[in-house]
Amino acid sequence: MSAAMNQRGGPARPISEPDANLVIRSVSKSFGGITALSECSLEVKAGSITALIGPNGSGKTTLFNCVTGFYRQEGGTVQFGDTLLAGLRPSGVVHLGIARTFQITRIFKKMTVLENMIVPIRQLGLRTLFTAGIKGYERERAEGLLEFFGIAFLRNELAGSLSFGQQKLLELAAALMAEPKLLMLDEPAGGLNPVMIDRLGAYIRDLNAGGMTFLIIEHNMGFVMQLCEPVIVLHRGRVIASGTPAEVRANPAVLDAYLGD
Amino acid sequence: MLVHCERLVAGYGSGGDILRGVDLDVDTGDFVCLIGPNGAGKSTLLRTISGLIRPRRGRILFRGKDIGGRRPDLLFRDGIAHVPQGRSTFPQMTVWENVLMGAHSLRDQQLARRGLARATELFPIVVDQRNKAAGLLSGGEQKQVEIARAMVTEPTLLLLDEPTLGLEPRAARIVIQKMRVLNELGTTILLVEQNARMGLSAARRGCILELGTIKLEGKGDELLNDPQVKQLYLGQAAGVDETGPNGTGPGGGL
Amino acid sequence: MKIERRLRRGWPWAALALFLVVPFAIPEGFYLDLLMFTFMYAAMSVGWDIMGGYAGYVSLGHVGFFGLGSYAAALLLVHLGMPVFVTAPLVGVMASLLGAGLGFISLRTRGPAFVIVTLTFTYVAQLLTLDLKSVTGGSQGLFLPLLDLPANLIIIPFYYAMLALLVIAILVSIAIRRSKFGLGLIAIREDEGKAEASGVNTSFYKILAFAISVWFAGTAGALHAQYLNYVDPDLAFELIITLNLIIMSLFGGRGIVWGPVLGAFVIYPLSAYLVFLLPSRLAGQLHLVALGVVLVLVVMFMPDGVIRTYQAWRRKGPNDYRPVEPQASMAEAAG
Repeated sequence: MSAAMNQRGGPARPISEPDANLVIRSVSKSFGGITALSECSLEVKAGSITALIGPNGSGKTTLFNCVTGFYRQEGGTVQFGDTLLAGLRPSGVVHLGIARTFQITRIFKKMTVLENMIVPIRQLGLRTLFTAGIKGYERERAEGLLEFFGIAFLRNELAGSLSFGQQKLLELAAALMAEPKLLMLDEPAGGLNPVMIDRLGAYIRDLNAGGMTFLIIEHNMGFVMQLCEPVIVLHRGRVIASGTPAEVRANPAVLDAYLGD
Repeated sequence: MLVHCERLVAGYGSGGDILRGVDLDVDTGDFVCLIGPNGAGKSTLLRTISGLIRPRRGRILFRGKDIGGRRPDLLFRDGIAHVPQGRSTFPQMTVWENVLMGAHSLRDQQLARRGLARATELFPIVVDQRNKAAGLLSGGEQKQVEIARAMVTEPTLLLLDEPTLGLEPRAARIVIQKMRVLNELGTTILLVEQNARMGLSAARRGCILELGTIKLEGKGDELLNDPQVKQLYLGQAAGVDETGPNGTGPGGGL
Repeated sequence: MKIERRLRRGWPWAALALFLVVPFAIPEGFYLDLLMFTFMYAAMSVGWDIMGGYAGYVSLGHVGFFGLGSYAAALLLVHLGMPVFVTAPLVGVMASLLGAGLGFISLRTRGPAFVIVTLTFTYVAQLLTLDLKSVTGGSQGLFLPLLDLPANLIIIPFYYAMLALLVIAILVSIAIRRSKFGLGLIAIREDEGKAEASGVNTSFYKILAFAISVWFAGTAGALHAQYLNYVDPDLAFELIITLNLIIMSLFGGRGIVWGPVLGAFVIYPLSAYLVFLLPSRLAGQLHLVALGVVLVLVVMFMPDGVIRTYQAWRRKGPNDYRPVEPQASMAEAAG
């Protein structure tokens, strides 16, 4: 169950398994009269750092919520590897190997940093559910991840007392505890100062080198363009462009909808 | 000297000191951008100036008068407007009603009318979307409404806390542009921005706040081009609005 | 220092030893009765707190399980001759299954559905016992045969049974608090959506917590019925029982193992004393009023309960939101 740890404490390359691509086909979602997603189709290839960009209201977070089970999509399919994510509850989606962070950083503020790391540990049955305390290897994994993000010294602090940037890193570290194959990040650079953003980019590259797939919603174009490929552009609930950063940047439809003046 | 902070020390509740001796001067008509790491005290400094927090030690002078500990509503009447971080529109009121709220404290009807006219001129969105519920606007549009609301009293000093947070690049550019216009028309602006490059290129002067004190000050473009500043505070990746149509932008592009 | 630590660790055992010998030292029925009911309420409160404190889901229906437990034990005794001291834990299990069913209906969504359903359940349960006259004897109730013991010794087995129930409750609560299950419940209380997004199957956790929580109410109800030798719809489903559970938990501290225990040990004796002092015709109403006043006072002045308020007072102000920074500035870190 526990992945081997590489020297840095980050998750190691998953042992060979079929590439788990995330395939979204013709997914729609409306709220009342408002269409958030309109037959949206895209694919996130295993091992990539894919960006999802677009104006606010284009459906990016709605898409995240449909994939992760927070919303029930209307029509269309979402497939991860061989499994159809139909009607799965969010915790079920996590157990399939997809973890996410939230646009507004969401951590358990009244728990300690270490406790935040323990919550996502997979319970394999009633026995593991009721055993006291943290198992040795679980603690090692949590410590390793906290070490990786440079926040291990905060392990016993209340999560609510951490600075904004530290909270963001904690949210990311905790998401990794669930040993995901795909990590979906919703505006991870939001509110971070430029040096922190660089650091975040380095972490993502590091994890990606170890086999982690990323799908990232971001407005920070500097961050996106030098980190991600492909870049998928959403507008009014559908994909209007997809390609390398350079291609997308020059695409007139994209400039019109989002990037240009 | 419009604002003079001398060895300012402040913090929250029973917690430790966040500001640990801030010395800052802002001239009338200036446009200063505050950058720095998280937890450095940037928001805390704005809140201390606008009266939301009482200084523990040190002085703040506004127009030569000590305003330390003065109530925020009185400071608002004195001419300090503060647009806080995050969303502060009244989502269920219309755009026009939101902006009207800015005139709430003005007793003089003429002043109010003039202020409202001014705000409308500067922010056409107030007219274009006047009857729409503010909560239905996009992030950038709401931020414009918030600034318009703050401008109704024609404040001398405008404090802005991370106005581009969460905004898409185009909206962020528009908001920054509006600030430039406001400053050119005479409003003194103190801006806190995580988008350091964007903030520094729009402002005239920059200040770097770290661990509760001002570490560095200088002209906006000087700081932008300083190699040490770039390394320590500006990062390698360009900021939010860096990619215009040709991949170049105010910050020097990628 | 060592003595202090030993005292802090060992006091529950000392208290337990004390309670074990009390019936020998003070064989007065009045005091044993008082203690027995205190144990009963403490056990049920600890059980209630597993759902209301750890998970944060307030059950207004615990008395429903208490009442149904009373009836179940009575019926098993009267019709099948099974002694209550044997069937009580099984009745508890029946209550758990029923609780799981109720949870399945109401706990798969967030929001107030649960509170409303548990409250409704109590009334429905009470109505059922009133209506199914042929089975339950309706408003006349059922009589249970007396235990074969001399009158002055009857209280003894109940005293120890309730004490045992309390000990089990505390042990279960501690076990849950230390386990990942408990951490998951607290996560649900703090931010249910985030808990779900962290891989916690919140519906399952909630249903399980509720099932465990009502076992104590069902078991206590069974024992209580035998103690009174009588069940009827009014007695078995008294609203005041649920009120007591909530107030006791709140008073001592929600979500803490010993909170409800402290609450029970303070509130039950005080309210028993109040009933003792007042003329009997007023006792019922004033008792409720007094409980209501206590509830309001607790919520206004000590919403976190006695234990947490005391701990905060000792620390002289929590520094919860002081941002924690590594001390080196960027420039220093860059070398």
